[in-house]
Amino acid sequence: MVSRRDTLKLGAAAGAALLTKSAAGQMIPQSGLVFPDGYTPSWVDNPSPPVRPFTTPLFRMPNAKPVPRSALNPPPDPARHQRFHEFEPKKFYIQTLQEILWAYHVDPPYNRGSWSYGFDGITPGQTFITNYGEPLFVRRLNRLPPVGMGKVAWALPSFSIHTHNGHQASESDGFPADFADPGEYWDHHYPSFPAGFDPTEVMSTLWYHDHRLDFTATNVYAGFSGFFLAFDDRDSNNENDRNPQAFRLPSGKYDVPLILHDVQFDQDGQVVWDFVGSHPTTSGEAGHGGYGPNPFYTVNGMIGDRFTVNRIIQPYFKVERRKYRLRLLNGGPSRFYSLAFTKDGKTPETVYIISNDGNLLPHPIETKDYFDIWPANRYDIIVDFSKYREGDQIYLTNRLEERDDGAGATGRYLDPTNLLMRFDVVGGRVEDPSRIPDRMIERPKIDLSEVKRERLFVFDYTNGLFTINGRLMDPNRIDAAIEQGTAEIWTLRNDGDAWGHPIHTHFEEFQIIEVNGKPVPPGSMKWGRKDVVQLGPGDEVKFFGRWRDFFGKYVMHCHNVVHEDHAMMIRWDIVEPGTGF
Amino acid sequence: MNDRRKFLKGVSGAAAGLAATAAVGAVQQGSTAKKGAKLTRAKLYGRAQLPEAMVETMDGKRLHLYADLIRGKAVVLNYMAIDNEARFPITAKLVEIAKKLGPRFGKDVQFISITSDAVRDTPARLRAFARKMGVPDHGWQFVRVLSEEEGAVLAMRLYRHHRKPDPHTRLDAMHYGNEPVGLWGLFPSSIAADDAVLRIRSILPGGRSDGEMRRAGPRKLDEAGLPFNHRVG
Ligand SMILES: [Cu+2]
Repeated sequence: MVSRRDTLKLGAAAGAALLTKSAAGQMIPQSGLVFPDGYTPSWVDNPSPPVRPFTTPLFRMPNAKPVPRSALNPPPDPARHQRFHEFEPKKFYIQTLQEILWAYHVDPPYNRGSWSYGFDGITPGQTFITNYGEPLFVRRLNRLPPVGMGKVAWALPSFSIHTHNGHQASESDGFPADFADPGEYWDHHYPSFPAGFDPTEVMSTLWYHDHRLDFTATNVYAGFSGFFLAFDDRDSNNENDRNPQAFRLPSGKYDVPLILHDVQFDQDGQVVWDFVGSHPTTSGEAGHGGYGPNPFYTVNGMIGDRFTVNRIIQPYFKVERRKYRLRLLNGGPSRFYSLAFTKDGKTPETVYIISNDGNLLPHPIETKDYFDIWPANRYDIIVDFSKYREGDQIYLTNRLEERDDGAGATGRYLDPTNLLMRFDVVGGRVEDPSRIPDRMIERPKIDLSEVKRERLFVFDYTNGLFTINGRLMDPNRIDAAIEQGTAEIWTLRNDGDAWGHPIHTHFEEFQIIEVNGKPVPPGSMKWGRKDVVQLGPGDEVKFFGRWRDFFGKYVMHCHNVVHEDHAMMIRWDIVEPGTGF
Repeated sequence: MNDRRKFLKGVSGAAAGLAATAAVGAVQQGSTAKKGAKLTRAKLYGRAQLPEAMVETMDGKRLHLYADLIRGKAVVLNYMAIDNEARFPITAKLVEIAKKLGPRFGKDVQFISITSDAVRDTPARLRAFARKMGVPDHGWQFVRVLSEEEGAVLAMRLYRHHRKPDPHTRLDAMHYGNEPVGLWGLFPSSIAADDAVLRIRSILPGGRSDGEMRRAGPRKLDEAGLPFNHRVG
């Protein structure tokens, strides 16, 4: 389906569609294997300790629990937030960011715990359950040990938490320079209204993660990520909803967020950052001072050799014979996946994709194929387990081979595939009040008469650094000043011939108009609102977007967070009408 | 990749995950770098995993870059070339940063500037350049790497990439690291000095996280502050 065609297009567009024969004998394109070979990640010589897959249950993150307003001392200060009184917070939260010991698996050495960054003792953090019309206020406390005192040596004990892709004011957006150091806190106000008060701009699956300048990759990898779910009266978090407008999607325990991270561990089960410094290893044989077992750190990306889902290595999850809403998120840092649900590790089962990048589609897309998911991409998928028998096992399966250096996909498909987690079908027939709706959320209307400016952003690589329009991120330089209340058309072009860049822009969703000069087919997965562009080698993507509601600074960046830190990011601002450039 | 495929051929379905888990890393040994061979042979030191390189300072002293100038310290490290400074004034930016660091400069953090033009930038020339730029007497070394091979290994390690320091560059970064901790990052050399100071301070030890919490931000909407963030003060 879509993903396959896209992959083919991607190869052709790169002008380097070298074809390799996969094990299955099928010719598939190389999507950019041009970058110098020769980097080998350290897990090749020092693999993470083995585990017995599918022996540890899936971690289901608890929901964040509100606290009384009076628990915040000092109280929320309206003078610090745009439009605070219009979006008076109804719920209040305190999140403590700290160093934690997290067990990625029940097998030793993992069962003794791996030092990580977490929220109130867990990673991923608590899931925020939010409702449109019910603004919330989150105070985040930095209780991480100061530099040099922590067990996680390679991450920076400083955060700027961004809710991706929340429609929040600049000062609550997690702008990369808005960090809180140990002993400091930051207040985030989430106004919970759709962009422009347009009901077609309602979002569903958001997530939060660290965005700290220069250290986003390490800090997200260390554990700073979690889900932020938004509901309204249609996507109402109630599969028994009597409201005739309600979608009645699987809800409660049948609505399961799943975040993918690939991680590398040393022989003690401690997390290794194979990039800038790394955790001491006890293996010692490599002879490199007993720390990083291998000198090949690259700016291409960080690839781990253990697949985790909700920070558990290859978990199992018992499912009843009914429909589930599975919210898949690629949490990075760098790996691309091509996923399907399979019984045999190979053949995709039929599933229903209901959202792309957190936005419910106009209608569900039934698919029996693999779908591509790059860092920060999200898909909500309905899987109907009622068609299986008790004892059946279904695997979340990845077939995309990633370059060892993390630069992107090799363009080859794996055989055998990677099995990321297992769904174990249990029990007899059960009641299932949930539905797969025929229609969900229409696309916002594209009105070209609103377009005030067109811009071109070229993504490239220069001598160890990743550039946008030939420059590196400077939070003090406004690369685009967008007039509030206007629309713009942005063209993103990848001039690199080796890297795939998942490009994300904050605050507003956009609609892709063209990919490599061709319009997006109506009804396809990309025909909807998005916030991450899959910009393959040589690709050019044009999108339409609107900028509304707040003023101030935001960013667009590569969501291969290693590229972001090196420093593939721009600052754009929303400014008063008449003052744009 | 092909090795892995062969290795796992015949393993099917459910068992594949287990086999793959066990096999990852046991294969692919043959694909280890050719281009990176030099770096493979280089011994790397400390938590920051840096190679050693003999350097000549602007005072004509021969030192070990890692052992004498980096080990045990927090450093800012950059590449420059005197003939490139008119078009790419990276040293002027560092002078500004050093001033804004105040008393922490030279005490808590040292600067090391490595010339990427080792032939032209002799110690005498570097010394004259430093004087002209108003570089402080202590806390900042200008050096040239004596061996081309060691220089290449160092650049590759710092940028984590095959890279030749370019004496004509218009785009570069400054590396900053806390060697004993193993914390190491880089920022574009074009950022504001105030911004660089905040980033450099963030990797220095100090502060507490167990006491009374201080507000980092956001500052009041009408409160003055740095133009590139919403932090208080
Ligand atoms: Cu990228």
